[in-house]
Parts: sequence; structure tokens; C-alpha cells
Amino acid sequence: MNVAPRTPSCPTELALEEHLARPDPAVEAHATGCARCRAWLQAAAAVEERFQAEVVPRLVPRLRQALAAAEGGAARTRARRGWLLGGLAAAACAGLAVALLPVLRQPELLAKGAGLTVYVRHGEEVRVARPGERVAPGDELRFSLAPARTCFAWVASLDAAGTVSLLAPAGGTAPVRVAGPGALPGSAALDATPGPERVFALCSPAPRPWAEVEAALRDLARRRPGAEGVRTSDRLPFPAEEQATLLLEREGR
Amino acid sequence: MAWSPAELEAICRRLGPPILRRCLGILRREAEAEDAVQEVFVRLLTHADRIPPPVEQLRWCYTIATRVCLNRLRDSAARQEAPAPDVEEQAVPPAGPEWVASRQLTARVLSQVDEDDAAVAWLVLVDGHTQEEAGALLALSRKTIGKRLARFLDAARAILGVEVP
Repeated sequence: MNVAPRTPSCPTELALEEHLARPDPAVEAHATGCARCRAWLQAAAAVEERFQAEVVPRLVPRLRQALAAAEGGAARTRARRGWLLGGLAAAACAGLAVALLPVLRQPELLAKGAGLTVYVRHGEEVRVARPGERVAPGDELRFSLAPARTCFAWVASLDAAGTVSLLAPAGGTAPVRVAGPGALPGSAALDATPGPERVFALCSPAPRPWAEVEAALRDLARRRPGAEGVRTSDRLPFPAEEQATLLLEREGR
Repeated sequence: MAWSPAELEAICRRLGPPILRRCLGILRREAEAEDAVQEVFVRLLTHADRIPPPVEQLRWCYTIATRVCLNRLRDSAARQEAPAPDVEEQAVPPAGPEWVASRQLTARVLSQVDEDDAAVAWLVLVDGHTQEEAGALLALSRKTIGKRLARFLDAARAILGVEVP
């Protein structure tokens, strides 16, 4: 579908598609006098021919496999949810059950907050971390914020041992001024400590001292200690719109 | 719902061409577009109970294909896939909506906006739909479309450091 861009007088691509499905006299009249739209319709016919002859024979078996895999995955998810509900009722399983909560919960990135994105570099691969993302020793993290207005950012983490780590700006004494969406300078490498680690991004309209942030994290670790506390405590005592968080699950060696 | 091989082939032959055209239009790469078609069909077929009446299926598929392809573009930015060697030289994109069609620039912006904002921007800025039409396709109000478009443009301005329409 390599045709010239449409002009303002051309029908939209969707209108052309609908014309193919159900001929529209107005579109037909336009196409008669429009080289671009005639070219689009010719290209569409060529794609149709190639799809029916070449793509369908490949696509249908792949789809059957994918649907079977999806059905298997759905069955596993249902089983896991059932186990989770049972586990929540059983104190002995509580720790394992809580480990699954971040995976089954809705994404917790705060759309109206600092808009934290965590990028994980594992070897040559770079991916965006999802809530509960499993990360390995040596993985490198980068952080991107998308605040609605200029703010001053700290990115820090808390692990199950209550360790507070300043991730960005690494070793900094003042927060990073963030004028708009973008990656923060620097990165953080993960060590071999296994277990959950919660990343907090704080971005306030005025610079907030690191000591205040650190104290809030240490207080959180005291109030909600251990792995369960890290997995379930996703708020610091700052305005909601100034913070965002993401849970990572660190694998051991 | 379990699909028989014949049913599967029939729905592929009927809905596949417009989906492939949509994916080619956004992704511009045949192999990637074909993978996207498969993803669209998996979404369609695993939620068969939501498939609308035949007269509405084209628009429904078109919207799902748009979302799938924009997510793929965004993910390609996250994976730092195929970065353009001269991306820094592209700091001043061509004026007008054409810039949105540039994969590299688009991927950079999409990596910072959510799926709905991305779909709104593509439908309005690239496809040329009115905000009302985009709202109908995405099941969002005209007011929401306007807000999302403004948010997308703010993000684009901040990321690209240029004035965009």
C-alpha cells in the first residue's frame, strides 16, 4: 500500500475500505477523477490477491496454533486465579498469593502522576517493565518521566530488607529538573539480591530534599516491613499526582 | 468458542485483506504487518462474543488493527528497534501531518503516550478523520477526543522540541 498521501478532498482510507465492501457512488465518483485514489484501489486489489493466495495458507495454521496457545494460557490463568482465591483464604499460602497480585492486578502506572516508565536492559535486549516485571542481576534500569508540567524528580527504590536506594539522579544531592516527558540521565544496575523491589518516582513542583524522600521510604519500610509490604505499599505520603510507582521482582543468581 | 478450520479460513478470507492493508499502511513492513494481522485475529477470535454484526465488522477490525499496529510501533521504540542512524538530524521534521507518518518520530512519541491517545492522534492527524468520526470509531466522546489529541500534541511538542499542528 505504497501510494501517495491523501489530499484533504480524498475519502479516508476507511471510506475507501467501506467502498470496497459496499460500493459508494460518491467515492466512485471521486476516484474516477483522482489518480491517487485510483492508485489506492489498485494497490488494495493487489493486496487482496496476495492475501488470498499467499497469506491465508500461512496465516490459518499459525492462527490455530496461537488460538490453542491462548486457550491454554487462559486455562492456566483461570487455574491460577482459583488458586489465588483459595490461597488468600489460607494463611500458609498468603506470601505466594501476594506474589501473584501485582501480575493479576491492573497496571499501576499513574496516568495522572509523574508517568513513570522503567526500561530494563538485559544483555542486548531493552524492554519496558510492566508491574511485577521479573528482572535479573546485572540488568540495567533507566527511567523516563512524563510529568504534566515542570517538576523536580527523585527516583528511588525500597526492597524487602528495607534498603532504600537512590536511583536517579544517582549519587545526586539535588533532584533532576524535568521539563517534559523524557528519560532521566544515567542508569542503575541491579545487584544479586532477590525479592521484590518497588521503584518510586517523585516529581514535585518545587525541589524536595532527598532527606525528606528517604525518611518517607524508611518510614514505609518500618510500617510495612518485608516482601509483602514492598509488594502492597504503593503510596508515599506525598500528593498522589506527584508520585508514580512500579514493582519489580528481582531474581536471584 | 472453538473455531473449525473452515470457519477460521472463512473469516480470515473475509476480514483479512482490510486488516492487512491497515497494518501495511501503519507499519510499512510486510513481515511485521503480517505478524500484526495474526495478532489482530487472535484478539478478534479469542473474544468472539464481542464480534459485532457483519455490517459493523469492518470498522471494528479497522480500529483493533490500528491499536495493535500503534502498540507495535511503540514497542519497537522501547526495544530500540532499527533506530534511524540520522535520527538526530531529523530534529526538525517536515511541516504538516506528514511528520506523524515518520516511523522513527512516531515511535518516539508513541512510547510516551497511552494507547487511546495514540489511536486518536493517528486517526485524526494521519488518516484525516474528523474528531467526531474518531470518537465513533473509538467509542469516545468528541470532547474526550479533543482532550486526548491536545495531550498527544503536548507530548509531541515536548519530545520533539518543535511546533506541531
